[in-house]
Amino acid sequence: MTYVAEQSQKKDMAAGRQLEVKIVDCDVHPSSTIEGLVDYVPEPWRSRYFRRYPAEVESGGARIYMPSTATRVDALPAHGGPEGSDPALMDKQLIQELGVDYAILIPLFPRLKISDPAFETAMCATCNNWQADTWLSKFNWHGRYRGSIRVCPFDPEGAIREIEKWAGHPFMVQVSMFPESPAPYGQPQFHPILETAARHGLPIALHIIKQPGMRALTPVGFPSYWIETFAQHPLLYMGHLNSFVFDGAFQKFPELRVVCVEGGFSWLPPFLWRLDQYWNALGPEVPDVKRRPSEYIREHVRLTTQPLEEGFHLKSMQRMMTWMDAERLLLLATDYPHYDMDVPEWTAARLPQAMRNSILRDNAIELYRLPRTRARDSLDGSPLNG
Amino acid sequence: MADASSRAVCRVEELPPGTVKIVPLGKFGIGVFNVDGQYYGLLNYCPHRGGPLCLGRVTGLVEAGTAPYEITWSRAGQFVRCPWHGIEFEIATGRSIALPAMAVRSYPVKVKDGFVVIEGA
Repeated sequence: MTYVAEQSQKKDMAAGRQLEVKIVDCDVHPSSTIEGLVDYVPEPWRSRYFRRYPAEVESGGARIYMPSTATRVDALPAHGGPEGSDPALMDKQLIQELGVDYAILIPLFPRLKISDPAFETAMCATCNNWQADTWLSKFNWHGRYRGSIRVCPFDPEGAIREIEKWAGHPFMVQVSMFPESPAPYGQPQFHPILETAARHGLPIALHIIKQPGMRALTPVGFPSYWIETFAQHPLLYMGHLNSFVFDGAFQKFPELRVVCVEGGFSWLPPFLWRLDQYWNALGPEVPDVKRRPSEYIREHVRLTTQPLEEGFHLKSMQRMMTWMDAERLLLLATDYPHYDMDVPEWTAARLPQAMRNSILRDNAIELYRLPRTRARDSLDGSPLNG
Repeated sequence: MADASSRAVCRVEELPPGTVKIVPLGKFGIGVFNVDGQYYGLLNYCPHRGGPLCLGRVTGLVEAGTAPYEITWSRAGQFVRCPWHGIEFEIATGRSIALPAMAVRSYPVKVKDGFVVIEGA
C-alpha cells in the first residue's frame, strides 16, 4: 500500500503536481476577532462574559509594552481585526513571501488570564472548536496548516477530555500548554495528561503566553517588566525539563515528546552538562531515572529556533548548535505574525550548512509525521515558472 | 522639474502633516513623510532585517528621566518604528535610536510648484 502511494507520489512529482517539502514552520499564531469566536464559546461563559464584556475578554495586558503591541504592523488586515486573523493575508505573507510549506499553528487566542481552571478549559475548548472549523478546514484549502489542541493543565479532567476529543482529527498534531505555571509539569499530578498525549502520539508544545506578574514566576519572584519576562523564558523551560527528567515522566512515558517553543536554545548545552554531572553523584536520589539526563532530553525534547540570538557571534552560536546536537533537536520557527518573528531565509543562513535540511524540515516532518511531499497549489504559482 | 532625478510624488495637499506615502521607486519603494510641514524620504527597507520600514507606526522619543522608573516622552511624530522588529529610526536623519551605527538611506524631498518632489531617487 505504502509502496503504491510512493510510486504515485513519484509520478506526481515528475509531472510537477507534487513538490518536495522544504520548510516547516513550527510556531505560527492565527487569531480572530471576538465576534468570530463568540459562537464557539461554551455556555455559560458565552453569555456571562463574551457577549457582555467583549473588550475586557481580550485585553492582553502585556501587549502594551511590546513594540507595536507585539504585532507585525504590516500583518494587520486592511479591513480590521487582529494580526493573523485574515487567511488570505497569512497565505500571502507566511506561505508565499516566507516560503513555508507546512505551518504548525499554536493559537494564543483567546488569551488565558484568569486563574480559574474551569474558565481556562472553556477557553481551550473554544479555541479548539474554532481552530478545527476555520484554520484547519475552511481556511485550509491547501492543506498546509496543522493545529494544536489547547488544554489547561490545572484542570486534568478537562485537559484529557479535549485531547481525547481531538486526537483523531487529521490535522491536530500536538497538545499545547503554557509554561508559566505554579508547578513543574513532570510532577505526578500532570501524569494523566502526559499519558494521554503520549498514548495518542501527540507531542506537548509549551509556548509562553503570560504577561509580567501573574504566573510568570521565577526562582526569585515575579518580574516587573515584559523585557525581564521575555529574557528569562529559558528559566521556565529549565524548570519543566528538570521536572520531566527527575520526576520520572520521560522514564514512565517513553512516547512522550515535549517541544519548548520560543525559549531559545543556546542555554541548553551548559544545562545538559550540569544535569549529567550532578546525576553522576546525586543519581541515587532519583532511582527512577535510569539513563543520563541528557539522553532523555535528546530523545524526548525539541526546541525551536526563534528568537535566534542576534548579538551572538555566528561561529560561537554554530559551535553551541554542535554541542547540543541541534541537527536532531532544533525545529524551525518564525513566530509569524509577531513583532519578533524570524524570516526562514535569514535563520537558514545562520545554521551550519550540514544541519540546514534537518532543522528546516526533517526534524518537524519526523516529529509531526508530515508527508515529505505536498500537492502543488495556486500559492506556488504556475508549474511553468514554479 | 528640471532635475532628471527628481520625481513628483503627489500634490502638497495630498500629504498632510503626520502622513506618509509609499512611492513605488526602486526595488523596495520610498516612504515620503510629512513631519509638521517638513518632508523627508526614507528607503522602505529596514537595515536590520529588511522589513518594510515605512509601513511602520510613527512615534515619539522615550528617554530616561533623572531617576530610575522616571521616563519622558517628547518629539511625537518624528520617528518611525519598523513594522517587523520595532527598531525605531529618526525620520529626519534616518538614524536608528537604539543602534547608532545603523541608518536607513534617506532622500531629500522638496516642494515645487505645489507638488511634493523627491530628489536623488
